Amino acid sequence: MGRGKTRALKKKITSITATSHITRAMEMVARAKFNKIQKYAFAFRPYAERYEEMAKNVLSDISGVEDVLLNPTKGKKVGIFLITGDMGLCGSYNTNVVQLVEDQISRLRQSFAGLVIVGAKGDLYFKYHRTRVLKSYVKEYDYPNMNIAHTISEELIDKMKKGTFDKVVAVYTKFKSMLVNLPKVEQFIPIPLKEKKGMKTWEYEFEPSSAELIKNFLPRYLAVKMCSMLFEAKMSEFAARQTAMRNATDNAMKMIKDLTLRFNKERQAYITQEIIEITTSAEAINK
Amino acid sequence: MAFHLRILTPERIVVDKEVEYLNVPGIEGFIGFLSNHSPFFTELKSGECVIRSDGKYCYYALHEGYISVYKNDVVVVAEAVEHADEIDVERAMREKAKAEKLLAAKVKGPSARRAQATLQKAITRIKVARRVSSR
Repeated sequence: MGRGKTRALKKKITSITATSHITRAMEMVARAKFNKIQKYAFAFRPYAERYEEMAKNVLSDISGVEDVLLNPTKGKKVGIFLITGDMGLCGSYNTNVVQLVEDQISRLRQSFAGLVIVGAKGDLYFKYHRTRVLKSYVKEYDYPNMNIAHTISEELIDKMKKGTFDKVVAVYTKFKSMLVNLPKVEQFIPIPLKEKKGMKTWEYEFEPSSAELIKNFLPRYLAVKMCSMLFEAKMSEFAARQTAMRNATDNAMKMIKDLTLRFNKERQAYITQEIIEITTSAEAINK
Repeated sequence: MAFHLRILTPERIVVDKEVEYLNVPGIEGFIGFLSNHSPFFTELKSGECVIRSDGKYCYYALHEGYISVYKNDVVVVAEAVEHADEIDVERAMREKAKAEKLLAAKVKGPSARRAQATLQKAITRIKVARRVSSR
């Protein structure tokens, strides 16, 4: 008992206070970035929706168009496309998708053909674990845009055309709300067509022929889809980081409160003891 | 007689209103639409896009996209669309010169394609801006 213990507690409180300042700052940065991305994402959404609608109508209207992007092939080689963040400190955001990919790989076994990765975290993990990484995009963009979406989807299309992959599944995080993110596995190529039953066909007039149009349309449609996925993942990442940092700040606050209580108790005990010592010694002298 | 027209880009919704007439740069030449057009789908290249609503004409520079027409509901999705007033002619001129220089140097592969696309966009922008200012 004595000064030593209270000093140690005081030191700890100071250090945790400093940490809480940092986590709070990071939360605010994440919130600002999230707002910005959300603005872009909401502007992009109607565009993507119209594209989706167009694709649905056009693709239900054509028949007999042969394209690797549309028709499933006999081959079994499955490529996995993964979106992670470039940075950590965002709770379980990165580990969730990485775990999902691990599950997929162990399920695919021999038919697993390789990974294409967006984000430094996924790249680091799978290279460390010596999984086959064919291509990775690390710190390529701050905010998702059509240029980067084009580049990435072109790469995947190229791998389909060369026969490296017979199918591509995308693993990414879908943004549900600030608190709920949904890691997801989705077939990317060949483009999954919904059941045609009961759907009205629009009987479009095509100009030039449908086959020629579709050839150009499919890669662009995939790029738009890619861009939506990048947006979803980025929004989830910043939402996750914001939540993680808020939790960290809250925890730090709780720790500071507990430690302060302990510090006060120690101090009081020390004072009480000192008074007892003084009074007893005074009494001893008076006797 | 009017029909509903929506023009969208990745950044924003450019047009969302009733219009009487629309002319777009189709891949095989300009196509005009009035109301009650039959279902139609085609690719669009970079070019001038004209809209008439309430008897007034509006000019846009439109770059690469698709148009879908179905029952008086027309949707245009394009990489970029600019209203004639928004176009920065000087910048377009600079871009044009740069692209021409690249093409003159005979670059190959994807960068040549990109330069070609930039050149086309710049030419469209200049054309649309001039057309409006000349009146």
